[in-house]
Formats: sequence, structure tokens, C-alpha cells
Amino acid sequence: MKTILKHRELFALYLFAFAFFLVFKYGPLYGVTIAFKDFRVIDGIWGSPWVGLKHFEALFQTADFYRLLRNTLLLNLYLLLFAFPAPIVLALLLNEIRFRFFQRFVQVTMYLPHFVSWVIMAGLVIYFLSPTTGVVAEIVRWFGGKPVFYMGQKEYFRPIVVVSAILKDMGWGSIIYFAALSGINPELHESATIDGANRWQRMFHINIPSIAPTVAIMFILTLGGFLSANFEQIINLLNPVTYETGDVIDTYVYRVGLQQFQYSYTAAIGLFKSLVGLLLILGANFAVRRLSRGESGLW
Amino acid sequence: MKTANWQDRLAVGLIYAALGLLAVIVVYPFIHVLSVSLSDRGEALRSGFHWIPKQPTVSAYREILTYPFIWSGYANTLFRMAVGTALTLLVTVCAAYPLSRKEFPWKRVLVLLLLFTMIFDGGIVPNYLLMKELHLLNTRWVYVLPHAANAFHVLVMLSFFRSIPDALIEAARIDGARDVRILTRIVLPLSMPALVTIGLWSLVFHINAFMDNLLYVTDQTKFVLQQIVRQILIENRLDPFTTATNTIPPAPESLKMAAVIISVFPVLVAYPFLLNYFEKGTMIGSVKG
Repeated sequence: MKTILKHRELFALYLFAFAFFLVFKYGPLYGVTIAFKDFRVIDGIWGSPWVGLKHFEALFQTADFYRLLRNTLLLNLYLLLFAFPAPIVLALLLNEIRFRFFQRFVQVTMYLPHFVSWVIMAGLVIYFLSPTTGVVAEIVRWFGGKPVFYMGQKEYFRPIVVVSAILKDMGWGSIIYFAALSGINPELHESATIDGANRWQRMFHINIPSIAPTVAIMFILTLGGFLSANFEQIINLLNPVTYETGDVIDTYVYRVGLQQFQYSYTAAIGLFKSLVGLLLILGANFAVRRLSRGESGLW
Repeated sequence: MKTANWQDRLAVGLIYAALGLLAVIVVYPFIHVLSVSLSDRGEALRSGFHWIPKQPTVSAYREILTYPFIWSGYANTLFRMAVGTALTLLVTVCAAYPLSRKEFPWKRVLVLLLLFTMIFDGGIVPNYLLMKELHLLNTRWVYVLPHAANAFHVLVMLSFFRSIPDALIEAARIDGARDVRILTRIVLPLSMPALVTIGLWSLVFHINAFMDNLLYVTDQTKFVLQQIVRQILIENRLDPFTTATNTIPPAPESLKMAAVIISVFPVLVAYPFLLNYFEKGTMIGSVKG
């Protein structure tokens, strides 16, 4: 009590700020309980009856759930395989450019899509992929191909998501790697060159090991958003024809939960997803710590 | 020393070509969009590449600016940018400042309480029910209040505050200044770079945000600009335009592209300024809290 009184102004500031976290970040945890209840609007969250694991049992028995799980995991896996390394490759290539003006031009250009919303980005993807007026269709015709309605083909959905995600955020993501590369001592490169190492050998033996710790941290952070990432992107690109390959947990929860009022059932799916995401970030941090012998990792 | 043999030259040439191609792929859509938005009906409906409109016309802009929801959308977006950013900065500073002070007790636990919110999130439905219970559905407050609590911002602010020399704070205290006064008179004036960086993050977030609109707001007069553009661009709701009494109405494509330009215009104008602070900000943010 004495310590609180002594620092009362600091405590007042912290409490004011923490109130926002308490209400808007911890508050939803209370709502999570409806995954174990039969939510009725009149009874509210508190008054609705407990039903134990009923919704989870129902969930694991529907075909929908396995489709959603497959789509969510596959899409995120492809993003991890292709979209995660893209900024690293871009930074490595930019680092080889000695012509400063060109380097800056490419950077400034590649950052631009980061500042544009997914509404605009997805709208343009749909427009450019149109089979009649789209530019992609025009290029396909040059090479003698026959353009199709790409947004309506379920096998094209995942590649479209991955490519548009790369184009939007690869430039922005490269900043942090590029800065790490600029921090490398130039003497390392000079002595390697004298020893006869060529460009690729220097890239693989000096540049890549130097940015490995940064890559590890970014990897954990990416896994932390794994499964919830790209909701804004997918919801704008998705249409009923592509539900088969593109419908993920979040888009399903939005559609079935909020628009068809199946709150409890979809809260159960959401909780399942959050728990898997939490396990992933803890696991990734553990793995990175083990691999780097305690030198890397978020905590 | 001759290291540049032909293989190396080829490799460098390929790198230049690849990066150049990427830059063109990213820039071209912006040129195309601008060109189509300024084209007349016949030109806008032509397939293929668009660089410079043959007969530039602003009829698409004139038409789309008569759509009342574009204006209310702009107003709502400005509201969330101004109020949301001010509130974010206020909450961030209030959380970070006590935690940056050496003598503040239980710092470790209090930081962890904030950190936990970064790795776990309740999900769409619990968040929706919370907004419902707080009577925030269909209000403009739902755009600004939840985003004020951002643990990442607090960490960035905290690491900046910690870099301010203790001697300055001690000197002020000896002169009899209390904590809040030290904050407003000494700490904040020294923290402008961090405040500007977080402020710009918040502004860019708010100008592009639409998820909260999609989830929590159904009243069209309260829609933000991105959601209005989403209706035009993605849901193809152009009905209000096609009933207009023009002799030759602009092509739907022109209207859509004009909507795109209108919504990205503020970002494009501020882009050089944003770039400067954002690149530095990413570096501040990468310093672990």
C-alpha cells in the first residue's frame, strides 16, 4: 500500500492504460466460455447453460471442419514456404547492387504496396485477372494460351493468395534483412575475395549466416500469426466457387458465426485455432532456442 | 585485382533484370489504374495494357464524387485516423512511461500482462460478443477504442523511454517535479521520433482498416472509406451510378478505378514522408523490449 501511494501518479497512468488492455484484450477471454455453453442472446454469456464439450464433439464430426483445417494449414504452409523467404531473397539481391540510385528506386517501389489496403490490392488482383479485359489474360494470349476465369477456379486460389501476398509485403519485409546485411563488416568480404571466393560463395558463407538470427526471430513472429494471418486478404479474394480450396477457419467463423448466428459452435472452432496458434509459437521459440543454444528466441 | 569475370557480370546482369522486372510489376498497376480512371467509355473497356489515356476525361471522378457514401466514408475514416491515433498515443505513453522508470515496482509482471495479449487472441466471435455487450456495435467508437491497446506499440515506446538518460529525470525530481510533470516537460519532448513513428503506424493502420467495419458495423452512414470502396470494387455494387442521367455514362471499370485512386490518394501524397519515418521505425521496433 505504501509503495502504491509513493508512486501513485505512475500507478494512475498505468491503470488508465491497462484498463484498455483489460477490456479489449482480456475481455474476449470471458466470451470464449460460450464455446462450452449453448449461447442464447436473451440469457447473455453468463446466463447461458453449460454444455461441456458438445460443440467440440459436433465440430470433429463434420466434414466442414476437416476442409477448413486442411485449407488453413495448406495455405499457411505455402505462405511460409514461399512468402516468408521472399523478402530475404530480395534483400540479398538488393545487397549485391552497387548502383545506389537503382537500389533506392527498387526499394521505394517495392515498399509501396505495403501502404495500400487489402481491399484495393484484392480488387486489383481480381481486375487484372479478369479473362476478358485483364492484363494477365492479354499476356496469356500473347503466348498463345487461352485465358480462363482465374478467380473462379479452385485450383488457382492458393497460388493467387501466395503470389499477391508476396507482391504486397516482400518489399516491406526486406527492410529488416537489408539493414542486417548493411551491418556486416566489409573486411569480411574483402578478405574472402582475396581468398578467391566468388559472389555466390560470399553470399552463402558470409551474408546468409550473418542474417540468420534475424531470420529466426522473424520466423517465430510469423508462426505467432500463423493460422490467423491473411484473413483480410482471403476474405476479399474468396467467392463461393473457391470455398473448396480457399475457405479458412476465420472466413468460415465470420460467415457461419456472425452472419448465421451460430455463436457457440464457431467460438469452439475459433478457440481450437487460437490454441493451435499458441502451441505453434511456443514450439517455434523452443526449437529456435535449442538450435541456437539459447542465443536466439523471443524469450 | 581483376575479379569481374564474365560469369560474375552475367550474375549481376541477371540480378538487375530480376529486380527491374519486379519493380515494373509493382508500379505498372498504379499507372494502369490511373489511366483507366481517366479514360472514356470505349477506351476503358478495351482489354490489354493502359499507359496514357487517349482522350483524358474526369467524368468518372465527377460521377463517383456524387455518391454520398464516398463523402461519409471519408469523414468516418478521418475520424478514426484522428481520434484513433490520439488515443493510441495516449494509452501507449501512459503504459510505457511507468514501466520505463527504475523505481516502479512489479515491472516484470506488469510487462508480462501486456505481452500476453500479443500471443493470444480470443477469436472473432468472443470479440463480437464483447463489442455487443459494451454497446459498441454500430458506433464509430468501435473503430478507435479496441486498437488503443497495442502491446507492440508499448514495447517500442518503452525501449525508447529507457534510452533517455536517468540524470535528466533525477535532476527534475530534485527540483521538485512530480512524475506526471516530468513526463510532460522532459520525457515527451525528447521522445518526438518515437511518437511520430508510432503515430504514423497508427495513421496508416486506420486509413486502411476495414475488418472492424465488416464485423461490427452495418449502418451504411458509419462505413469507413475502405468498406465503401470494397462494396464498389469487390462486391460490384455500382447500382447508384448506372441510374445516373448522363448521355454516355463512364464505364464501370473507370468508376472502380477512380474509387481506387480516391482512396489511395492520401497515402500516395504522404508517401515520401511516410517512407522516411517508417524505415527508421522498423529499426526501433526491431530492438527487443
